Amino acid sequence: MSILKAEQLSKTYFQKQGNLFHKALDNFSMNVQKGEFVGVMGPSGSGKTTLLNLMATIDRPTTGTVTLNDQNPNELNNHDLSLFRRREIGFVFQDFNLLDTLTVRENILLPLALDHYKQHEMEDRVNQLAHLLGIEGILEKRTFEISGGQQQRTSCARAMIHEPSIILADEPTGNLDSKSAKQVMDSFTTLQEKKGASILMVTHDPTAASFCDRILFIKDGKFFSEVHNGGERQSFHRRILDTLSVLGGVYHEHSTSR
Amino acid sequence: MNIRLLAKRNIQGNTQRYLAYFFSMVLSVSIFYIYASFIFHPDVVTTNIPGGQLVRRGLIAAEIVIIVFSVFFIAYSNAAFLQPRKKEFGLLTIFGMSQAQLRKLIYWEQTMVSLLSIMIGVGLGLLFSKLFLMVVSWLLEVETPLSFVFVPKAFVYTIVGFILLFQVLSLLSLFQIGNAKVVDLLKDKQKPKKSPIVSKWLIALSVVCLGISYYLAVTMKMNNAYIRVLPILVFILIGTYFLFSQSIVALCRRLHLKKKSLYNGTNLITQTNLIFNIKDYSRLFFLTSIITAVILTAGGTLFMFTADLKKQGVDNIPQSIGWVENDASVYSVIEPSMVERSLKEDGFKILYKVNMTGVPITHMIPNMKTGEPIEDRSLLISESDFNKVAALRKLDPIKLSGKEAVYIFPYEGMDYQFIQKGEEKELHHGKQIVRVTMADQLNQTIIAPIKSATTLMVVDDRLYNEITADVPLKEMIRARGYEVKDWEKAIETSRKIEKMSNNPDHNQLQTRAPIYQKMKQGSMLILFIGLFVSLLFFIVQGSMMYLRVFTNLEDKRIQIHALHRLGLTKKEIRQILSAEIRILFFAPFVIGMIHAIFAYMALSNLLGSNLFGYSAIVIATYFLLQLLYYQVTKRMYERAVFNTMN
Repeated sequence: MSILKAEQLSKTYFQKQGNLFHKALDNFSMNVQKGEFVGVMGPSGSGKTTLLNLMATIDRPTTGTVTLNDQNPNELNNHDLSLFRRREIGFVFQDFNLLDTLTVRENILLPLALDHYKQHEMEDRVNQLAHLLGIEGILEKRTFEISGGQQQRTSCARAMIHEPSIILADEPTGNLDSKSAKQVMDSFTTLQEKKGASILMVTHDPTAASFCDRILFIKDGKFFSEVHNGGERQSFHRRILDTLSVLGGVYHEHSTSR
Repeated sequence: MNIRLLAKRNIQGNTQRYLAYFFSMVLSVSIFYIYASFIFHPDVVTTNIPGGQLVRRGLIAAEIVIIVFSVFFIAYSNAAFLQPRKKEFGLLTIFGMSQAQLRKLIYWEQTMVSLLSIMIGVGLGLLFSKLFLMVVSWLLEVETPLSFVFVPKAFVYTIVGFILLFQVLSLLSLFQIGNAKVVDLLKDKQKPKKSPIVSKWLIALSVVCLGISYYLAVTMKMNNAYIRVLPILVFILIGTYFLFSQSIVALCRRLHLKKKSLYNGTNLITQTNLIFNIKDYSRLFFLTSIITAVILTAGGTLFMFTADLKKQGVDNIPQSIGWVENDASVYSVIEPSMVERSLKEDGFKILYKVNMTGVPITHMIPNMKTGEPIEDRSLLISESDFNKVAALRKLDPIKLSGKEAVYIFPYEGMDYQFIQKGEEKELHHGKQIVRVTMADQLNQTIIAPIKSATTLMVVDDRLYNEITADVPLKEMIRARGYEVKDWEKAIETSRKIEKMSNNPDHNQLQTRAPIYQKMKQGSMLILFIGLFVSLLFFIVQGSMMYLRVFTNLEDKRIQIHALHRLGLTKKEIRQILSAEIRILFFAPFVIGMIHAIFAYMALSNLLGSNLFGYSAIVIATYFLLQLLYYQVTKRMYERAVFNTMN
């Protein structure tokens, strides 16, 4: 059963004056099955972020439809769209986007608090997820007291806490060293395996991508190719690298360590 | 692109942040100029306008207040502008800008803004000074209103004064950025400030200080007002400071422990934001609540005094026209028929007449300052005479028997007890000595309190008749009075009657309307001048809030943007933003208002009137203005936050 479906998505950006336009996404179709972990890769400017924004309902497609859990979010007004986002989608961002005024615990339960959940239910869910992701020890800490990896695992927990239909991850390892990146990717796998999460991740990082079930490659806004994880990560990783070299583009800038 | 152009671009890019500051400075410059244009006005300096010198002195005092206040505000604002831009300065340094160039940049920015605000301020001042001169002329009753002239001296003083002020403060603010290391500048990411240590003792201290000052204010009397004002001020300052830096912090901690309300919707964000910022807020809250209290108290007092003046007039001057004849057998000051004719000619309806005789007596009372006994001259009158006029003046009658006597002192609010209840007193009239028992002292007037009728001694009718049986009419004193309808219009008539009277020392006849008129003019004038200073204070306290709100705009944008992506609706974002601003604008208002209410209670006691209605007007007006400022700030803040959002 596909949980997220994109059909013939196009997004064209027009300049305000003049008739210059830029086609960021061109007739792109894809879907994510329930419980599947899908990655999207492509060179800079290939339309990855546009795609993710459309999926995230932050942006609207020029043509084509997005269907998430049998609903078309683009038919909703702004208010309902926000609520839809809050309930159906979990976000993990490159720069974490945790609120530094809140403790880790409060950051995780924020989506529940916004929907006025009962207190004990929030606490239960936080404790359970924190245990699953190995961050119980830092629940009472502030965001500036913990490492980047811990911050990103906190946002994974926040993305999952309200059990959304799908988790959208935008370069989740982009700001992390390789060790932290692995921990974060393990967290995603845990969420997928233990909680049945469906995940769509956009990434530059071939190592991170090798945790996915399959990878979609995108170039110049169009579908380029698809690679499936045969079950063995090493070979999957190599096939990803092969495809990337065919794909071209500039990849030296995206090393995972900085 | 040179430094000056970069400075200009920076200002243009930060218009929103500079707006409130700019507005406040324009206002302060223009008020300064308007006042200066009166102070140095050739007509005021050379000719002798009645009251002109007094107004001048008042305005000079107001100018000093404006300058002192501006110094603080500019220093505060400069610091507030530089704080959030440290990272920007760090970046510029990395790109190779030298310290000197960086200072030059900041200096140019501040100088441009200050020059612009001086120019516009003086321009507006020039525009409105005519209006100001007209109103002052009208209040001073100058026959030919002060003409609008270009006053070079006012011009020079304002421009040079403010340029100097801005320059000195700009240069001082450069020290702030001074020799900080680039790394420190770049890394000046907002780390949460450690919230201050909360101590039970300091909380108790704040409560005790506020309690003491409120108690002192409420029980203040005319004779101890001077001694009490300073301690009240000190206690209020200490109490308020610790109230915000301690009690509010403690309250916030409490709030944070209440998970049930904390974890409910946007509360999680608004309350934690508050706790995060509380230390910064506490100083700002302290400042603005004190400013609020000052505006409300000073402005309110002026307003209430003016509004209550009519009642004060009626209380202190019992009849529209009143005089005292030292010899009751003849009318030497003025014939009552002449008074009546004048009143009738000018169309004033006489409400009642007073015609009362009494015997001058002497007795001993304690001196108000030293308590030493001194001789007092009073007029002995009968109980029925007193009650007759008291009824006309809607005062409570008194009831006496036997040898009882009541001492009447004419000045309300002067809360000194000259007699003790039950005290035995000897009253002397010539050689005659009468012993009475004092029943009470009343502070009220029933006949014009002049000459020998200033204080009165009321005794039982029988006793009065006994004492006065042998006193010839020649030795008695007669008090006359006429109360008319619409007395406040009887200024000309009163003057005419005064002219007709034989009253060489101006102390035998008293008329109410001219005195009231003079008092009213005076207090209106003070009110008018005070209004501008209050307005300036008000704008400045609002601007401090505005500045605080816009200082953190960048961080806020990032936070709100993230929240929006997580699915926060615009309505909820608005809630978060307004909750944040609301507390800034209204927490100090509430505290300042409570301070002011106690000040009003003290004033009510001093004036002996119920000022509840007037204080409600003052507070409501202030509240509405504050609400307006809040709404404008909120609107601009929302726009600033939303405009980067898609």
